[in-house]
Amino acid sequence: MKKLSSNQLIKSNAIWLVFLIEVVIFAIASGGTFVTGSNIVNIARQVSYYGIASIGMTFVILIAGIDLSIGSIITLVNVVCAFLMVNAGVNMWVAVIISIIMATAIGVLNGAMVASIGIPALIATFASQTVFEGVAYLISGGRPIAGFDSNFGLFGRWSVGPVPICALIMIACFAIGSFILNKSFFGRYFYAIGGNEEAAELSGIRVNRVKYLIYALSGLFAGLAGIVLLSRSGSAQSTVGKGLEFDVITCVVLGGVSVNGGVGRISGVIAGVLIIGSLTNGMILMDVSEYTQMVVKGIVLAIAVGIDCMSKKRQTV
Amino acid sequence: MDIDKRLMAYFRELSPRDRRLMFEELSEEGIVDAELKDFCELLYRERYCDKKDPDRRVDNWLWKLVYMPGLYRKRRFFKKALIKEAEATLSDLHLSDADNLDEMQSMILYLEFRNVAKRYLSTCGGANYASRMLGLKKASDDEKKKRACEDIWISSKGIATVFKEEKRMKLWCNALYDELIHYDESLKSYYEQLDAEHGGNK
Repeated sequence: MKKLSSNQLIKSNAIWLVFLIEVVIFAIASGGTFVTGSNIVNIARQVSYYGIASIGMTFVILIAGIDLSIGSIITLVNVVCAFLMVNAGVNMWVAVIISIIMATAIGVLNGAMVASIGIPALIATFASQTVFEGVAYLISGGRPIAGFDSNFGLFGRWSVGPVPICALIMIACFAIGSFILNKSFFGRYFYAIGGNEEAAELSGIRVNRVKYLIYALSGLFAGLAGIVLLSRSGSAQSTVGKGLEFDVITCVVLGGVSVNGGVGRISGVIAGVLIIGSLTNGMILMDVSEYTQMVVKGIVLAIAVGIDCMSKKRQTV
Repeated sequence: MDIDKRLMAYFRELSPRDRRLMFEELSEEGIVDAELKDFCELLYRERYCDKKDPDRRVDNWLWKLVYMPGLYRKRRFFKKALIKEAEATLSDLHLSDADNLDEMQSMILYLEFRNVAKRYLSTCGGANYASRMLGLKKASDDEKKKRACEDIWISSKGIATVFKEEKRMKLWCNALYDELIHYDESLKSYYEQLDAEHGGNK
């Protein structure tokens, strides 16, 4: 097999270079606070939930789809899980399992709208975003739900030594995502469908079933992210996931997953998650207002998509 | 080597079912001899039969072509696994022992490869092919053709160069190239441009 030239090596790892430059800039600007152990642990906690959600989004974007509903799935999982534990007195584990099953079912519903009915993914998932945001509000009545079992802190607040458990969950999810993409047949199907759906269908892939699976996985990972976020925050609110899908999409696209489908890898998404996580954390340290943060993140998303489109125009090879 | 017109029509037909019927007719009329018949039937089985689920419609060779861009793009990672996979692909396409094929078998294989490429290219005019921005921006005919050319280049010369298998993949590369030029002759210059820019894995 041909070895890569240094030029190709730099190109394929450019995203990590961007991350390093970002770390150096924030480290200097914050007078070293950014790279202290406690802040790194803090970043790990902050990125864990959208890191987990980004895995499902990676699969969806690989087939040239989109899932705008993950923010509202995270919200709904927060509210339902909290409601079950606090208001219905359900055991913590049972509540977690029910919430994740519900998130996966919402994913299946998205899959049905996209694959079976043929609604464009953007519209289908936007519709379910609106529906489930409303459902979350109806369940909670707009009021926060708090007062969980102290053991519920396991997913978001506890640590193993210096490493937060939520970061370990994220690492495990990335490993599973990488395994699915690189070692399983399903991963090959995802790339093939994103590359040429019609040819994939002719070659024997059951494209609709794969789409169902992908949206179900997106719901599952969003559900897991919701549990981690709920555990971390200690209270469920009906607006907690609002806009989260854009952070997740930014991470995925920044990580090199093409919005045109068929191109991307998990290692790039990890870099994308770390860049956005560090950017958010760095801006908080710099005392940048929440609205300015939104502006910056929006610009980053536009630049990431712009670069993707321009590179696609030049060459896909 | 001269090929009977009706046998040639068999190699240009895209529907597996129609190909089956055409081949049965050719066999009954004695247009294909026993040796040729066995080889063609072997290729047909390998290409269209799913061993695990006989009722399922598959095209195993088209799948190779569809998946090759994925292998090409993953070339920077999992190198050992990819080499193993590339070797298996060559074996499935009868390319690992290409030197041992006689003239007739090479010709049949070449025509079968062209049929695979033709079937792939038949999907490249679809509404969603080469679309951008989550499928929202549809591609123009010119963009579709260019993308088809890129796919064919990656699945032939691109992958052969990356895995240093130019010699064993020669028949496959030639068949795909010839079918691409048959599809649209104007793509020749773009194919050559891709070859010049990326052929040495630059």
